[in-house]
Amino acid sequence: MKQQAILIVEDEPWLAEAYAKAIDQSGWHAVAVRTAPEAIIAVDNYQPIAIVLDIMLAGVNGIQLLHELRSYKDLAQLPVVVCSSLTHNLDAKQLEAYGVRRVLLKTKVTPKSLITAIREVLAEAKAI
Amino acid sequence: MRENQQFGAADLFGDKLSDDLAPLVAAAHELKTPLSVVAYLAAALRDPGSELSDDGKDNYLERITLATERMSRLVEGFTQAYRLGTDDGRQLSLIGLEPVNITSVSEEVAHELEPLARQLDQTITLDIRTRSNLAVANRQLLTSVMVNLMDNALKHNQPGSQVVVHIAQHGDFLRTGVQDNGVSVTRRDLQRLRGRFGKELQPLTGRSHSSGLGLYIAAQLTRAMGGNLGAICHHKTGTTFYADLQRSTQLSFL
Repeated sequence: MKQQAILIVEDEPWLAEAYAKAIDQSGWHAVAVRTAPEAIIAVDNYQPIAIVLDIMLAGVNGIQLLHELRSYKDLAQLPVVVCSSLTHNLDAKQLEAYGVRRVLLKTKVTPKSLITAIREVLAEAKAI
Repeated sequence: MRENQQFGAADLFGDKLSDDLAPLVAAAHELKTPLSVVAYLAAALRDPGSELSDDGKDNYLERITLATERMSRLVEGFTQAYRLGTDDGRQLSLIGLEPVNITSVSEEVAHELEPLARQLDQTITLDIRTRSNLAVANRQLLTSVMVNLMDNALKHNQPGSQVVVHIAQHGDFLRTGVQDNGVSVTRRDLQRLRGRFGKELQPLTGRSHSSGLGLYIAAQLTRAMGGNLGAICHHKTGTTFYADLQRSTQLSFL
């Protein structure tokens, strides 16, 4: 059976690789990209069931990516976990409107908290 | 064809390089990325369910070490730069300037950063275009300048690519430029860099995880040696940040 994909949008390569390892070990297929334009292409190619997203990206940032994703009907419900070091600067209401269901402070993320957050957002999305 | 755009230190940082506590905020922000790496990889190593092989564990440990070294360099450079920028020049008079071989310093720094470059799937190469490689400098400060410029380039380069260190004579100056092929910094970004340490932190739009603090450190230390930091934004991709230092006319016996 084909594994369901989780898209990681993170331009710190060591973190992206380590997130991917934990996600793969949890039974999904991790796809990691560094930029928002690459993420748009990956969404079409891999049809991920959730996105792990950093906000501070080179060029187009994570908020702009969320705005773009929400403009497509079929992606409007795609659950997103934000991993960012700028959590205190983020507008929770705005993020919620963009489908962000969990916001993790990057310096506190562990493999366990990341996988728990993904499982929770997937469960919530399924319940809707 | 568009010409490369060149900027001087005034374009980059203005005349006032330090402004109250704003640099401290920038330093804290800049440390968050390597701190996140250390925290996450350490947690993965502790996690009994992580299923890491011995090679995988070694790899994570090396990355933790490299990220810690990066934080250490940043803190050390910041301390030096901030002290030089806030004591009205008293420290400046204590800095010993002497003829320093720029090529030798660049080679040493490239060698020191080689493990970091390897882990990022990059290489550092030197492009030396002058036989006259003695600059009027302080060896310790020059080493910090080169570390910050090369580290900055590694951070923004694409995997599988190289950082090129160009050393060339430029009039009475020796120019050491460090070229990356990351997202090109725009004039607007550079103008934002100039005001960045004013009221609040303004990360560069094109370059994530960067407040430009490494460049601030390099600029302060270069200025302390009587030189200038500048940048060339290449019209397709990448940026060269360079330090111009007075060329020494003393003969090298090394």
